[in-house]
Amino acid sequence: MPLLAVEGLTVALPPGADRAHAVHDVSFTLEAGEILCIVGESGSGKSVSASAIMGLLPAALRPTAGRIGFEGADLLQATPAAMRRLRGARLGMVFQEPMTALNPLMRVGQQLAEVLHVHGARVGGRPLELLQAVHLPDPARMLRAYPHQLSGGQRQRVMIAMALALEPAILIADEPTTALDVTTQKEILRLIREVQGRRGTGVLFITHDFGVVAEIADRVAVMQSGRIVEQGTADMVLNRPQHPYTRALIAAVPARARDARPPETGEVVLELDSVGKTYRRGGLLRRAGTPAVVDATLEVRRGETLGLVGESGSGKSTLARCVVNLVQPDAGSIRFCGTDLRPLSRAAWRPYRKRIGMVFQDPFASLNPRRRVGDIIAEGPVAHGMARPAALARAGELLRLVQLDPGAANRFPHEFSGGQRQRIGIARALALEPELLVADEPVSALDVSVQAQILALLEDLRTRLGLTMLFITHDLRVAAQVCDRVAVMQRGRIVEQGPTQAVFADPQHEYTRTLLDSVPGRNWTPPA
Amino acid sequence: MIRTFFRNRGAAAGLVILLLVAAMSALAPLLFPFSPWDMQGAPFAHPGEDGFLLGSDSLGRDVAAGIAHGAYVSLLVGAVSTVAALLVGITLGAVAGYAGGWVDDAVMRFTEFFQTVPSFVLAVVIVAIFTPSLPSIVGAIAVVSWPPVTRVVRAEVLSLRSREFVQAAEVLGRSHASILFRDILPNALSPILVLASLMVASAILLESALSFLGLGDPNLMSWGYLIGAGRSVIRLAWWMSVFPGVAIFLTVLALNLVGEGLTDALNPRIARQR
Repeated sequence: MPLLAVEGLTVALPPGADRAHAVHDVSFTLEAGEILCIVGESGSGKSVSASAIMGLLPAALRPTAGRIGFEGADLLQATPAAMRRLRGARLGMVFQEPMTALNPLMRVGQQLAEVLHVHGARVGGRPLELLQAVHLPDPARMLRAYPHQLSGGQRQRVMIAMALALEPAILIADEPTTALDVTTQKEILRLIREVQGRRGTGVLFITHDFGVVAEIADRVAVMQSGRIVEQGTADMVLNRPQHPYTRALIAAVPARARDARPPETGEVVLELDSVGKTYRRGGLLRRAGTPAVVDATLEVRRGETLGLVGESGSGKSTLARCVVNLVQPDAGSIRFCGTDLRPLSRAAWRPYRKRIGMVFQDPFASLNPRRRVGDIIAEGPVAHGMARPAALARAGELLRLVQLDPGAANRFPHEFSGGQRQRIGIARALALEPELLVADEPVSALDVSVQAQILALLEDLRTRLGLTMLFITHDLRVAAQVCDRVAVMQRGRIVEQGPTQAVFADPQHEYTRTLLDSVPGRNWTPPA
Repeated sequence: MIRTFFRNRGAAAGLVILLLVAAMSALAPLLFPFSPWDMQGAPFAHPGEDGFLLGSDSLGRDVAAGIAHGAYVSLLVGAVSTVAALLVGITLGAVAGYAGGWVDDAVMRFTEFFQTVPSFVLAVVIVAIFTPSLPSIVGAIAVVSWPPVTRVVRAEVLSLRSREFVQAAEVLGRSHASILFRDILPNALSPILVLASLMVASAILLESALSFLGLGDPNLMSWGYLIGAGRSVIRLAWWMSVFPGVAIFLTVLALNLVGEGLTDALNPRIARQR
């Protein structure tokens, strides 16, 4: 008999939502000692399924049909009191955001003891054992630490220790590594595998990333719009996908490195020479701050795409913002077509604003919610002296260029999906016909299939318009697909740079090797 | 946009009340074709008695006439002083929040200086120095009510400044003025509108309080004056204070409802959802 059997689970959405059911007729089983991955894009119902099992559905969502069999009972029929006894003790859960899942005012040790205490278990030396089991360094000291003193990865380890405190039969992990850097992600995945193997826990692992699936799953269920469209062993789903949606998702995984092109020999468009930026704390006593960028030197030639890759806090975004003068560097020079931009005043910068465009990361925050899309795209040309009607007409053309309907010009940003908004952001950047496009993580907030579309659009525009690009990303798979050359950043320094294929095939620096080694699913080549 | 406004029932009701008060004020000379200061009959007449709709005061003056004629001063003081305070407050707040650095420090210390003085006492002092008249009362109320606007606007501008769409505007090479007026201030509109509707209300109350202390314009009837005059005989003639009080209450409530409705109507996200 399976450990957990979900049969025909249907959860209704409140009236007025874009579909009738959050999840519809979902059935799967989970055996002891097995890792089942539920994969899907945002809005596919994968998190709702997990919440239903935990009895944590929001009040607006109610299950209308089906049964969740666990240890001889139906969890959908369980009383709130019965669910409380099960949660934590028999069903453990790890959430996506380790920053907000811990109480900031309680020491780690107290929070672990609390879990044991509420379920009537003896506390004793268990918290220390638990921290040792999740391989936290110096567990005795960690017990006394507050959550803010731990890194994201350490916090997620504490969360896992809490979830496993009472040795639950099932661990539900809802995107537990999405907020983490790749190197940390790799360690957390290894940890989940290890504890699961040791205790024979059944793990329900929810993710959007096929790389992670390839890394950890025994079996896979693929969800689309609230339904499971395909389910089977990891090998079957990953290497011989049957359903068209699974195939489309797998095809969208950026895995195939781009064809090598002859190195660009054109003129140098952008040349950074020993650029440095240190953020200083305010106040009377100007204390030494943390250096965000140290001694960054690189050049970008006309027509090529240079990738700036690194983990969070590596300084890649700060460096990109230095190029467009959103951040003022305090050392070095930034030469654009031969002119040093650093000493220029705001007025002297203006002509260069036309020639350097930027695409931002967050498609929801980067468009003014109160202005119509047409105005948003036209504002650049208008600021540079184009008449408004002409600029609006041009906005229509640009919308067509980024494959949106020109009628979109009269609508407001919130009426578009994330991918469509990112297209609008690209249209805005292209309105001034820039020579250099700085793209700061342009696809990291998007679902894989949308991500693939935006990358294809950027590639198409690059060849058609002869754009030069500085492409910032934390995702090495994306970098491999988009960039001619890459520069790897670690703690503010560029530790390695060179042609993408050479760097990825034969990394010279220790850190580059670690990064490449941490890419989830590196041993899996998606079927063509 | 107008449709969204009227779909909010509270806002529509508020607007109706405001229009009624304005109409009452405009038609006062026709409804009560005599000075509200003139004696019209016996003193202390109960509401409905002796031809007095809302009773008469200790000198036999008509309370209803006082409310109708007094609406003009109360509404005028509320509107003009709020507009003046908004102009000063938004300008200073926007400059402080957008420029940052020492400009921000200077403006905020200046604002705090005004906030540390109890506002009502400051208003009393200003009116006393410049002798009670309509302009001095409006001025005094404006002087004491701009600091909260500055603080709210500065906080909004400060948080909007670091948003990606403002950075995007910066990268496009747009001017400071264009970024401030097109991107930042429109997004700071909701809190400003809510604050403004509350400010009109508190200005009416402040004028009432000044009149109550005898610092109103001695030639002009206002709601505050009526309450002040009725204060000493409130146990004998409750109607003298209660009806002007109800007038202030309804007007303030209507303003708040309208402010809330405007906020929704001006937000494209909400306006298109309903």
